[in-house]
Amino acid sequence: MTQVFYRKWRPQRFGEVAGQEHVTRTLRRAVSSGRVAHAYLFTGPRGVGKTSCARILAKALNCLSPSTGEPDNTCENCLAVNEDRMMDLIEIDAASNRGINDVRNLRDNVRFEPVAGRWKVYIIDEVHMMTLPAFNALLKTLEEPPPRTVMVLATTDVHTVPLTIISRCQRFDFKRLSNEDVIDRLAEVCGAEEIECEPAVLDLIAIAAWGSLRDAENVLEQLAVSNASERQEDGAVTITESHARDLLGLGDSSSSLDLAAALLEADTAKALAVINAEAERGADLQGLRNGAVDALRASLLMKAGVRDARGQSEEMVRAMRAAGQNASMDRLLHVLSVVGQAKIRGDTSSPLPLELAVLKAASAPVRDTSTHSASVADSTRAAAPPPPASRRPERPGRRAPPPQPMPPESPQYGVRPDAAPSRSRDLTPEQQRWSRVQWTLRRTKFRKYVIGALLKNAEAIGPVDGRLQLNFKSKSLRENLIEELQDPRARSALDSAVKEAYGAELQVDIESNGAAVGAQREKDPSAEASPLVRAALAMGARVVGTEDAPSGSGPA
Amino acid sequence: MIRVLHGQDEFSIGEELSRLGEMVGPAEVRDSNTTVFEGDNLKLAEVIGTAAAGPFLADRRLVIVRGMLSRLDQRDRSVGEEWRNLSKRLSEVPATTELVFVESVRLRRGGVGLRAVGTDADAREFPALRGRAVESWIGNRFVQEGASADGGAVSRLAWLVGGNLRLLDQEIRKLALYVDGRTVTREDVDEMVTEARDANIFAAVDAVLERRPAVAMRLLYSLLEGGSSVSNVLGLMARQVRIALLAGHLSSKSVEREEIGRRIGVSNRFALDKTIRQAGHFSRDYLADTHRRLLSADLAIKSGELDDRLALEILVGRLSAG
Repeated sequence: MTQVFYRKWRPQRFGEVAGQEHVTRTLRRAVSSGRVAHAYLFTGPRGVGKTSCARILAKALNCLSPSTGEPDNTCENCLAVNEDRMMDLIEIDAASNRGINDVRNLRDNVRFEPVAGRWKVYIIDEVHMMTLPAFNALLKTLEEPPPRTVMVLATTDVHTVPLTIISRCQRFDFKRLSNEDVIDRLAEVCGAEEIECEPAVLDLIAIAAWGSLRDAENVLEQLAVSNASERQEDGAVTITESHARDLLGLGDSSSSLDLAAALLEADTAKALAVINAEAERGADLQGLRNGAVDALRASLLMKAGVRDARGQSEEMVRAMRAAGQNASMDRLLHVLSVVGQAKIRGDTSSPLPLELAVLKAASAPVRDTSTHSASVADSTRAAAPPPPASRRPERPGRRAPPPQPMPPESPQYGVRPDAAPSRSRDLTPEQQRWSRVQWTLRRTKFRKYVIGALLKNAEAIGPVDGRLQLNFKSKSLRENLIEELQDPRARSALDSAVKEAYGAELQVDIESNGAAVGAQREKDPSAEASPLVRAALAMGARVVGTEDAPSGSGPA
Repeated sequence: MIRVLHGQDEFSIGEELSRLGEMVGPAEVRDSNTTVFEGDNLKLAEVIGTAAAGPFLADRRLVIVRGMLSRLDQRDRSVGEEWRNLSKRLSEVPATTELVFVESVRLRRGGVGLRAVGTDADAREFPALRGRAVESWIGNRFVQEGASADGGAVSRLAWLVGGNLRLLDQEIRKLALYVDGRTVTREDVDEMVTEARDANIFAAVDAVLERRPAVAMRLLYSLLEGGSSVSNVLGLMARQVRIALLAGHLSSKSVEREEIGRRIGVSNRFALDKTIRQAGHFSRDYLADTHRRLLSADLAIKSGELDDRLALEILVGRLSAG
């Protein structure tokens, strides 16, 4: 079975560990001088060499012929460690052995002397996953482990490890690897694995890995495997920049730069054209967006005065320096946050999310001047809580106050913002007045129906010549209102609400399907009682008046 | 011999106990000749019975009793009545036994606790070290480790770590190995000591609040490249702004400096100085606004609205650009 790159090319000596000179130097001297601490804590981001260093330390301590603190990698003990068969090296995954019983087992076993080597080394990986009782149970062992026992705790999240544990260990903070270190290491792997890369490939991998060598080696391996079918005659695999960009979801660099530059220059047409062109040629738009974000980030760093836009290619730095010259910091942050939020997850071929982001980015940045509406993602988004002055602590057990009644009439037809429906700012003045009538009658009910609720299903037209015409969505709703208005109190409430909202007495006409009935007028049951009239009404006729039928004649 | 080790410097007390442990005899017999008593329901008869036994294949027997004298000092009613007669029973302890009472607090001179062991007992206080005493301790410790440090390194280390001797001991051992014979300098301390990296967070918050985007962004990257995660940096920034707010509030109420440190949970002198200085430099509204922006950034990250690194960069850019 083949091993993955990061295991196959795991460093076997302290000297091979990249980017952690401050750690390896100290450990090497500890081994060579015999001043080994009984407990170590290795902390740092993933893939930077914590477990590798722990294993090298175990090997160096047990090596039969170490040289200046380095294991020789040829003796029986070193080979046993390399081949995962060293009995005195016990690796524990604290993520799956995190309870107090696991630590009790460890405490029971730790008393036994080393079997093959001189030192027994326990590596407890992901130690932050342990439970608090487990940590407490481990304290005593950490403080005074049996002779010839070394505990190495490794974690990516040291802040969740209790201080009592931390202070009993010699702590080493592992750094992210620089891009140069990652590239050097990848180049070595490429040489050994017969992989040929275009010059920019290793740069791209290093930037994407952000200091994690394991991530970088994984990406390199994926690229090598996916290009294995294109082996050259000499057996070497060639990885092109476009392959790397595809795998990393970065998109075409020049398009990303063009998009970022257009956004900074507020050139919406150009930005949309770039997106369109990419969409038409079937490019991954997520990659385009990611590339644009990277370019904008480089611009931000340059704008902020950081001399080197770390981890970015020369081409990007040059292009963004030119594009960002005239853009203010506000503009840059606005564009960056808008594009950063554009999500192209489900359908990476749809240009819509990116186009919308471009349009949004084209708007002027909203200057965040308030003391409390501070959102990193978008200044206009009300993510922050209200200022302390406006917040009143809620007393337990106290009920919320009941809804306030409608405030008194405003001087004009305008609707008070706190009383009107939330959409009021989108309404025309007429609609606002009508909305106010609905709001006033939102709880008014004398017979069967709440008048405000019925009115929500009607459109008010007018006022024209002292009349307000209501067009109902359905006949039944209209009839419900007519029925409710037969109560004089209901009619009076409607009249007064209309007068309050419109500032004048108006006659309300109620219509449905073209039929109008004067709400102020009495309904004539005799007319609608006639089947002929009902049939005519159903066909769209309108009752304009009634006359008594001549005596002796049939119904009108 | 009856001994009392009391005080807040638990590291030095631990070292003294280790020294006494070595008096017992070789490592192989130490465990079987050492007994530690602690807990609420200690019986005096049990302690004296154990202490009265002779050593087994060793020179001495070591009996450690933790936390009892301070309870007597505080007139803790849960302590058994028989402990009132402690001084009389101590005469039963043979010369081959080291009976050591260990207390993590300072016992009052002339208090019940110290009186209970009688005047013949060897009582030693281990107070928490402060100021020059810490620097002096650091200097001596470097010598013990076979290394030397210049004045800048010693004061930097004392400034960063404070009086936590256990932590200082670990850092000194590490530094002594790192320099391998040459003199430890301030730069070595900054390279190797964790607290030096955390100190950058003060500088980053300062730069953000003082609206120096270049410095803020550089420090941000220095923290991230040093191995800190985005959530860690964000958390540290938020904590710093929050405790600066609290410190400002307490200062305005004329609360003593030490008390401020206690209430905001900052014991390190360096950290407390920086926090109080920040609280004095910036208005409460400004700090509160900054804190809300940090919250919003956290929300944006946790709701998946923005990539964590990008959110932090935008936040620092926005805050420091003003």
